[in-house]
Amino acid sequence: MRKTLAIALCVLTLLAFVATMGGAQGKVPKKVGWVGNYMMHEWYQTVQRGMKARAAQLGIDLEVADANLDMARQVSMAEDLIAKGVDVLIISPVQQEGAEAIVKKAKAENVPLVIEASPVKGMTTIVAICDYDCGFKGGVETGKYVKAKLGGKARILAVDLPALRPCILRVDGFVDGIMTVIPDAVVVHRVDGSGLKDKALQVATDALTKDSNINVIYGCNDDSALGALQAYKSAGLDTKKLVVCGTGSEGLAFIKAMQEGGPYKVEAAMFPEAVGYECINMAVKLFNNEKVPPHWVTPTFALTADNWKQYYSLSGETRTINWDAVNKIPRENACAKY
Amino acid sequence: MKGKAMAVNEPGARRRVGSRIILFNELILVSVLVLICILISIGSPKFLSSTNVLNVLRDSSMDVIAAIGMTMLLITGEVDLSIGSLVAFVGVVTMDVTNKTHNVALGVAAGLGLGLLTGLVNGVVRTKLKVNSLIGTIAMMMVLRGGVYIYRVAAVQNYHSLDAFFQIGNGYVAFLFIVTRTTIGRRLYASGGNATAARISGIDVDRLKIGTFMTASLLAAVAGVILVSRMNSGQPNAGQGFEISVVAGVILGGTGLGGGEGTLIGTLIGVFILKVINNGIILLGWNQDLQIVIAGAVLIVAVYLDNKRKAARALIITT
Repeated sequence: MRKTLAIALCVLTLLAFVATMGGAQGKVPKKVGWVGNYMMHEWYQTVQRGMKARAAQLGIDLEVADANLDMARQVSMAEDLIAKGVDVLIISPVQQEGAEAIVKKAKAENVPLVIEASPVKGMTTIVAICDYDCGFKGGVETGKYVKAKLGGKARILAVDLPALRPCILRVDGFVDGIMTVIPDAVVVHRVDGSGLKDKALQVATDALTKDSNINVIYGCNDDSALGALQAYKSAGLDTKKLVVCGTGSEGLAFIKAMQEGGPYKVEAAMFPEAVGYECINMAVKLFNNEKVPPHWVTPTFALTADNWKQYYSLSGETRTINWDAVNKIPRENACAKY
Repeated sequence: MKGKAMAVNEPGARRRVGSRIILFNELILVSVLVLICILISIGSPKFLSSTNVLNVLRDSSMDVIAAIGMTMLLITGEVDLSIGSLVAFVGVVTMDVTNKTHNVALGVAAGLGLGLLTGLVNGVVRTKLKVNSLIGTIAMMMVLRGGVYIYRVAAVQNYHSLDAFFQIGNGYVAFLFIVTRTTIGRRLYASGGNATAARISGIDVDRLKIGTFMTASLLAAVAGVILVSRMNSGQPNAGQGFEISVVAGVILGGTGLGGGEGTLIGTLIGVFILKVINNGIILLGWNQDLQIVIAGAVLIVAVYLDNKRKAARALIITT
């Protein structure tokens, strides 16, 4: 009995030691700072929710600042956070070139830096989706719908935002994706909706005047897709002959559109909550000097009117991500295109 | 020659000269509009289709409605750069109140009320606090844009589906007609047009300016209500750059930045020119960035012609 107790104590001591070792390897930073690009945007609000949730789980004090689309302001805020003594800094660059100053400053001050969304020269790692792959998945799913329900011919109105490289990649990915199912799909219009619903409505209205023979609408974000859908409806066209695919899953708009049972059938989801969650995970890894990949890809998936409830639940005007389902989504090791 | 000079120095003769110059300006604008329409229709036969004409009218309606108020303000020597943010805030409030009350009239009243309140504050800041309207309304633009995001970051979706709500957006042409062609519209315009005379005549200029600011904001709020109906959601990020396109249309239409001159018909044509250019660029399949480039270039030419016109008028009157 004594011998058994002694062995048990030894085992427990060893386990405790190993656990302590693991804890030492998995230290968490006390304070993490994030300088967002444009916190007023719904996307960043949702990223922030994911970031705060993960930080709270790990007991990290997260300080959030908003560059409000101003590069100089972002540099200044990043410097302020470094001066305040954050253990890790996260930034969502306003401009890729301008953010190089922050990368240099963080290196000089020996503060680990996580980049979110847009790559910056000299960075250690970036947490972001693969835009091309995300659009591609949306295109494949939309193509399947066209083949099954719309006669197998695809004539596309794509609402782009050419000022932003990620948006161009999404549209390119969508077109390539749909062509894997519908090889003779045609991009009839590719217009610039500025990523805004009112602008998308305007330009899509003009595009549909030029040629209304469209049965696929793709938007590089949700507002672009929904603005074009409004233009299609305003033109008096038959929505039963249409399928709409948006991108982002940034808020409630796509869920409501899918719930209505109209032509909004596919969402190339980017799960902003997961982006925020992974940014904090990456901050912890860098804090512990762990080896990290240059691009930590966050999940994307083509949600449909039939499967979105597996990934999100809705209560009133609050949506909740289903982490188990999202974490099971296979991730790319690297993007097909940058 | 001397006799002619004496003639134009008489008040009646000055008015006639002024009217002729204004008419000449509007004729040039109409000619430019017609020329642009002809050129676009050659490249895209669909340009003159009834569908497209209706589209351009629909797209112009919000700008024209807001431009009426902006014309009045510019005539009085003031400007309001907060209308883009106001359009967004009004849209969000209108949709939110309509959702909560299931009453379109209450939703619209809340939106228009916000417009009136904004105009009142703008007017008071300008007349009582003596803050330049350029600065004051930029500050208001920031307050409103920040305010709408505090009120609601996410877009307010339509949870009511009331038919009357969608009719607002469809009734744009009728509204455009009421504002521009009826007595109410003409009175609104006249109150702006008489501002300079009112100041000289000892009329309560502060009151007049506050009223003009309120009218301008109310009209911008009407544009916001139309936009939310067309979009079927209240978007906090809507209306970005709206104030610039409205001011550009008004200036292009011959309303001077210095105040005291401008016509509603000129504003109408100015807004239509910019809208037709935007529409034409898409119909012709040109690079959309040209929308900004051409609008900027047209604006520079318009201001240049305005300066030349002023110089010519000054020369005629003082000769």
